[in-house]
Amino acid sequence: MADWDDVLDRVVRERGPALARYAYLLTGDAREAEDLVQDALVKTFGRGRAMRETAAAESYVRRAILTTFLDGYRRRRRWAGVRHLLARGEEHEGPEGATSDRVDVQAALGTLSPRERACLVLRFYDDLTVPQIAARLDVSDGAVKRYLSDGARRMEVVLAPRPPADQRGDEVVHVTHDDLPLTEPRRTP
Amino acid sequence: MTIDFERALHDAAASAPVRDGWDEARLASVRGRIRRRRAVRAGAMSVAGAGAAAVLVVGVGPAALRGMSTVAGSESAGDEADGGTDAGGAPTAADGATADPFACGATVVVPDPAVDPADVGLRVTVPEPIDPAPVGGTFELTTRVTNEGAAQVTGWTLPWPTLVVARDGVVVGHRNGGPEPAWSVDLAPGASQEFAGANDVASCGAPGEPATGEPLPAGDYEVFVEQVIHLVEDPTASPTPVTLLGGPYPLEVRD
Repeated sequence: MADWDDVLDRVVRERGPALARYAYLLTGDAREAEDLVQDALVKTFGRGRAMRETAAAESYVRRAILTTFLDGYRRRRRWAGVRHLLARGEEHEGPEGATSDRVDVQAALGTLSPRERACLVLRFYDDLTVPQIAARLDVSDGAVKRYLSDGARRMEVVLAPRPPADQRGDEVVHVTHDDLPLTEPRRTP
Repeated sequence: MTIDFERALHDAAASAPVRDGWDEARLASVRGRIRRRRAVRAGAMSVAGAGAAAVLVVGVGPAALRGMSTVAGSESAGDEADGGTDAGGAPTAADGATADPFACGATVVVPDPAVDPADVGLRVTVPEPIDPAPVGGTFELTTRVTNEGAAQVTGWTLPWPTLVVARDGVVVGHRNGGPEPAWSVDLAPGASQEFAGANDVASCGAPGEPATGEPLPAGDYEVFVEQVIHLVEDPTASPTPVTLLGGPYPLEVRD
């Protein structure tokens, strides 16, 4: 078994589900996420790079997932085609709250542009700082802040509990740059 | 009101309806696509590399060489031409070859992470992906030294490892920078110490000669790190240098 073959095997078996979940946050669709991971694996391991460490290989794959997602018009179009199916309608608070919350988050992500979604995922899931996101996406810090602010605001609109009908419109949700923590990333276990 | 986006996204990811594992057919399909892609790439490289100068690799100090091979001679640019080839039968630095560890044009032999060259349980890694660097600019890099052994490790090191930048397994650049103050290292079993900061890399000139100082052109590179830990086991004796190797780690240089 070639070195890359062995590393591929470890990445897929040890980190495959985590990579698929990461891709799912970007695509909003499980099948698309799995396709995206496969494309990213081919892109990463097909380039002839030397890789021995699982962690390093995974970082390559994650980047490939992101760039492939951002470059993938087909995926964006497909997401646009299905996202209305996840859109939040009337409020129904009930025992299925946890499931509803998850669907709501997916629906909220679906309202964002690919770059807004990528910025939010990189910031709040990958714990990257604004400068790190800017470097990753090859945009300015200011653009990242704008994507984060706009994306967060849209998420808030979808996810925020609606006030009673007689108060609707009184509550204004503001998300400013100052609300977005810009400190060093936290380390996840 | 504000929403805890971190929690929301982690919850959404945790509950994503993705499969927990990969079946063999799916994995075989990906392997096949990769092999085809690598075969095409290797073919292209073989043509491009015909007549290339003989290559030499990399011994990075006697301790490290216990876990590495050193190549003197040409390597074909086959499927493993990315530097992953072994140097079967090739002379090593221990055989007397004059190996400049990081000479421009050298072919890097990828360090095997399973090998502990010094048998002290120390390991160097780059735990975070390296963000893309602009041409002529700097990039952030964090190295982490971990004591995976059973004994306390005490000594010192320079805060920055030697950085070697390779492309397709061939050294094409070195980190710019001079001597810096040493940092103490004091690691209990299982403990880690990180060193972080900005780096810039100079492009290679002619094979075997020092870097020219010119910036690296845009493209995909691999970074290798060499961190020397000077172990102080007896304060009255000279420190024992232990060379740790890590890599490759991806680096993208952008226009």
